[in-house]
Amino acid sequence: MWVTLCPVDRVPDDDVVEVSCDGKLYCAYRIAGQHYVTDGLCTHQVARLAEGYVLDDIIECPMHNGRFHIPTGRVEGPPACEPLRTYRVRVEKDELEIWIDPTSSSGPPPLQ
Amino acid sequence: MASTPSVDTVKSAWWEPRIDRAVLKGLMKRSDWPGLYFLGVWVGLLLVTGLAIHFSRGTWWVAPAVIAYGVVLGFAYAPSHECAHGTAFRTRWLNEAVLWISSFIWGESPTHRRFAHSHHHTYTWHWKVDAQMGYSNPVSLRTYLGDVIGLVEFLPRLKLTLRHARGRILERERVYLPETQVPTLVREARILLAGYLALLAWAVIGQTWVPLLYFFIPRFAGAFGVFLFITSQHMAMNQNVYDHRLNSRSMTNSWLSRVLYWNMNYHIEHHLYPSVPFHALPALNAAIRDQLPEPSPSLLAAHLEILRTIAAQRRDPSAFACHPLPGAASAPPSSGTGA
Repeated sequence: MWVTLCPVDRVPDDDVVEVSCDGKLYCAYRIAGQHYVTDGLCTHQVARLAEGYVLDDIIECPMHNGRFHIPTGRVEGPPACEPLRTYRVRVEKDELEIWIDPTSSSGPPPLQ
Repeated sequence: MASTPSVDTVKSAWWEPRIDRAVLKGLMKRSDWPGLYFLGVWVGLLLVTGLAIHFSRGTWWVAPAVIAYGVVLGFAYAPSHECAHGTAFRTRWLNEAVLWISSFIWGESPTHRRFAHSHHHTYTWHWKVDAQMGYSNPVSLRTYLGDVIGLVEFLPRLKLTLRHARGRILERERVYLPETQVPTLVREARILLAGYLALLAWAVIGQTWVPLLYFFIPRFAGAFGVFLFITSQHMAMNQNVYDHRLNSRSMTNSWLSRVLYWNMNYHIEHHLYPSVPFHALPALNAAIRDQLPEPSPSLLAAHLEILRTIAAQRRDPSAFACHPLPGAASAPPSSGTGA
């Protein structure tokens, strides 16, 4: 099902913004005009990726500089080893939406 | 929909300065040029001191020339450290190439360097947790001297590389080293050893002093140079605290020291924001200076403070070096020896 994350104008150009939705944390990006959404926490250790650095289409964790490819979640640099979950996105009525499979239990862990 | 939900991250427990998000993002920007400049100065000094070795061979002047060259060579630590963070250069292949060369000179495989150092950043100066914390308070004079001379580092690092080359990983290393990285680590350790053996073979088979005079002997003879700086980073500071202002030491250094050391004299600042590359650390310092303790005014002052603290710890083992924090809201720790 499609889930609304945030108004599309909240997402900065070539940068990242943190969005929480249904008790989960996401990162929303607009890279070269394209929207992307990933999980909000690094897969290496628990760190908020939105506090990190966007370099072209790479997000770098603020804590240990692990790197992920934003469109695919692929690991681009250690100490990250596990890929980052990414989501299908669409823009509907100026809102950024992501596709979440209701039958899947995967996704970012609920916030405490 | 909450904008700033509560989540326990590895940074949550640590003190953080107030800094505008846009300013911080600006400081994180990457560039190739500052690294190439710092690298150029380092290589230039290697050439100058290397020529000094060349022209002083056969005389007693070769001894100070080898030491001077060795001091410069030991600063391979700095680009290796910055490249392990991945922040030294914007261009990734350049970062990886310099990481390999400098880590070979430094004597540690890139993967071990990265993962052990990541652990150090998560648990900075937490005794028996921090993978790079080799001693705790109270510090003995013997520990201080051993660390400053730097020679005590070589044998453990050689043993570690030999062990990794044989595929043996200790339990305490598995804490910070994912299983998926073990094959890479083993391969890198073997490459490192093969490189050192090739240099030795060149000396023996080629009947030449070149590898000894330009690599092995100066690495030992000049190791103290960079270790004087490394020792100043955390020694005799407070430990097991979640405030980098209390467990790390920043200091004021000369231009040449800053360039050789890749600005790691801004050590508190580096620990606060590892994503800020070395060349932006002075600007980071300017942005948050009002929230930081006064840095040690020089390398010498830092070492005098360490020695004073070691003396104080003989009377009171709970003593540690303390740089008063600015502002009434930042209460000083319960014990300390003053800056």
